[in-house]
Amino acid sequence: MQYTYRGGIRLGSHKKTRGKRIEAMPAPQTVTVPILHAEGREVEVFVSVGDTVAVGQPLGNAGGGLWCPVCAGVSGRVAEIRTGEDPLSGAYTGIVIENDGLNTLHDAVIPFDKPLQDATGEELLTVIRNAGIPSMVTESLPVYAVIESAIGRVDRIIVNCTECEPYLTSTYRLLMEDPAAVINGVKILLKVIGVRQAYLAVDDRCLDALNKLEKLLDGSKMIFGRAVEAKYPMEERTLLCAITGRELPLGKSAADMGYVVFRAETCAAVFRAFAQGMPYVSRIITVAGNCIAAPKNLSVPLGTSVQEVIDYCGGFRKSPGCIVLGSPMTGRAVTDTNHIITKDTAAVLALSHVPAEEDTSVCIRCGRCAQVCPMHLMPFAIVRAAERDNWTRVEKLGARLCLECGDCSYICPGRVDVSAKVSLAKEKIAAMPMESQEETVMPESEDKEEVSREEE
Amino acid sequence: MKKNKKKKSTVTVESVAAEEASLPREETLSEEMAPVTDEAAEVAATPTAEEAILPSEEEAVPEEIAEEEEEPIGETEVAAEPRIFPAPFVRTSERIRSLMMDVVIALLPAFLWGVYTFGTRVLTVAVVSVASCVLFEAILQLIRRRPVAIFDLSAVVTGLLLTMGFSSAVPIWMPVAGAFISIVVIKGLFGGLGRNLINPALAARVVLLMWPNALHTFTAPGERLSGIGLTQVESVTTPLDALHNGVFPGVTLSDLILGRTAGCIGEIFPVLLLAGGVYLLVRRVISWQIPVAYIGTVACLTFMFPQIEGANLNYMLCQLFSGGLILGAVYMATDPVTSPTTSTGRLIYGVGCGVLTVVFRYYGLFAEGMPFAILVMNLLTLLIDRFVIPTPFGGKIAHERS
Repeated sequence: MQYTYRGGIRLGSHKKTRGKRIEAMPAPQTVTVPILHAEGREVEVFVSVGDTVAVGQPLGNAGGGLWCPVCAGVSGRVAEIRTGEDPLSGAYTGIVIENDGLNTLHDAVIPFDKPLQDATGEELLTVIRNAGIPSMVTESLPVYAVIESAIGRVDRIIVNCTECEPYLTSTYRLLMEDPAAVINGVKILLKVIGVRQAYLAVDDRCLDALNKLEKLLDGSKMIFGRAVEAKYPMEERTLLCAITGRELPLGKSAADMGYVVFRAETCAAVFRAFAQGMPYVSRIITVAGNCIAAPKNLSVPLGTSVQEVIDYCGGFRKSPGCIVLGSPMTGRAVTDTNHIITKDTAAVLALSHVPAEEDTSVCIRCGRCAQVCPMHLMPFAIVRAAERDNWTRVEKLGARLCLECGDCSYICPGRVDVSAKVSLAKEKIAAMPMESQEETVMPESEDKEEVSREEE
Repeated sequence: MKKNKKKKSTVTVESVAAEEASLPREETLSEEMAPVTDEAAEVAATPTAEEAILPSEEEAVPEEIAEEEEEPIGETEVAAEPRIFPAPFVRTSERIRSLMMDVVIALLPAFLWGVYTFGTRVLTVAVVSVASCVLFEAILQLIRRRPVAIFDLSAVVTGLLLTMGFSSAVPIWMPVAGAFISIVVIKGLFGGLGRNLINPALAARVVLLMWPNALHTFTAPGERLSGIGLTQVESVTTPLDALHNGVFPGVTLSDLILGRTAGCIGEIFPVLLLAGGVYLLVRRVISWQIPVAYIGTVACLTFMFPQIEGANLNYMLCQLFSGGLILGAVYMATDPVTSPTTSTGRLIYGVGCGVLTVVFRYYGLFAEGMPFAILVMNLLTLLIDRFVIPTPFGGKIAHERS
């Protein structure tokens, strides 16, 4: 039996860096540690220009009301505090640190020395809290907030170890090189949340990684490996559906179904916070694409500039048609390589292929986008309704549910940017006031008008 | 499949609950949990034996990667400057051109059989019709100041479908007029590819029915015409005409199936047409719902209500394999632009086409009902797509509002 869901696409893999070990990139001369401005939350900065900081020292709090420290990944002097805008993570306050190369550790970076069974849940949660680990699943929430909200409400943990997008290999490498960290992280999470079952969902293109995990698990009755079909997107909703066979009802969260979902990277970061006392200061990224001279998997300190990363990988082999930050399906194309690596930068890609300058895109209503939509929507119909300003129909077609995964654009033989257009439509209706009673009577007449306009 | 999964997961929930009740939580936890200390960190840090032989892993390229071709996003390959455009940055290699190419490939065998049966004049008709379609398309796009997109091959497919519906003795002005009607009037004036409401090739065919004698002069199979001009040919009765007149066609069933009858150029060999349909299905150019619903409905209706009493099965088979039913069901009704996009919608549409085809064949003025049936359903497509909306992930939208 295969764990899968209806819709989605098994994307081509292009994973040429699969066999490349994760290299720890030496920290560059300066890093700009980003304190992300989560929506509606104020950031606090604990350091000022001229201060000397050590590795693991909290620089600020990104959580607003919640506690989510952002820590230094290098030791050195704070040269500047500036604000910036990241294409993936949005606005941030950047703490520019001049690296002194000494890597002095902060006093607080000490391993957790109690055996796990003796530690209380609160103790463990405090460690996770102070490590400032962001949740990779629920946007912009620190992971401890996710854990807190899950305690008492869920009875299973799902760990998303899948990597179904082309080019990306960082999760796979993490599982291959350090499966123990992931598993120990899961064990800590099990203990903290107080549940006794966890599933490690690995996609079926990484069965070797699953084998490794299962060897380590050795018939554990608490943690199970699950091979899910390598379909994209594989995020909270679709993964839950793949594992449980049930679709998460609209308006419900995973916790309502008794599950909480973490990413493999999060688990490894939790383990690191215990084993080394090291807060979340670096992430693993894949640097790839046919224009990168030496594609690699890198562990880089947060705040390293994209240019440094590209230089470390030998620069460009040929001039790239686009430089992508983040995943190939949902990332952003940039022209400026002075952006920094944030928690959301899963990859840096330099690709040669670009769309034709002239817009020759055309929708032939083939319905492929509807076939692959993981939310079972009709993307092409949403686009057409939006083009005609028929927002009632956009709403009715469920544009709000769109995951913005990009499958519809991927599959479109007419090369329409379906996903981008649906996202725009989604933003528009989100900005509109929820329909009042009078407006819901309107559609009838509007619809008729639409039909006649269509037939013209 | 899905139900099985459900069952399984509920079973485990229960068993876990039972386990939980019987065992104190802390105890089981400590059994399972490895103490997290520095040691554990070190263990994790030292590479295992498997990892030591990593280089070989690097060489072994997984099969899937080896097979893959680069996925071009667009036509241009190299840009001087990095450009900004929306995600995703990888695209499928399938283009409209490749879809259209597949349709051409699928049509070719039946078309070549037409050339073999009716002579080289068929080639002339095809060249004139395809060339004029492409030419009209290019001119129209130039006038409308749009990028000339004749290489998407959609005009070629229209021209070829147009040819398939002519007889070999068609006056040569007809393909040109047909091309004008389909490309300029039906497609161009509605906004070009993807915007037309009805199938261009079929619409042209129906308009040209204003000259029924010119359109319906059929030569006998094996009477091969050549050249452009027309010598006077004697029209023969097609199997469909015979059925329309209430008698069985004077050919055997095997002649009917294996293309040894009089009829339109591309309609006489149902087996080749169906084989092309299978090719399109395998290549996922068309979906099964429309042809199956269409042909199935016609089969049911003609079997249950034959116009010639006493030979239901024979009558049904004659109806299925004479005229343009197969061509229409596989290649014309499935035109994505003019057919519904949801599976349910496609089934409704297919059944509608089937019912109307039988009605038009039984009670219509003309022997053939397929073009009219599909055109009517083309117009209803808008309506079908308006009301058949698939249930989104997690249930009806209305739930979200409440």
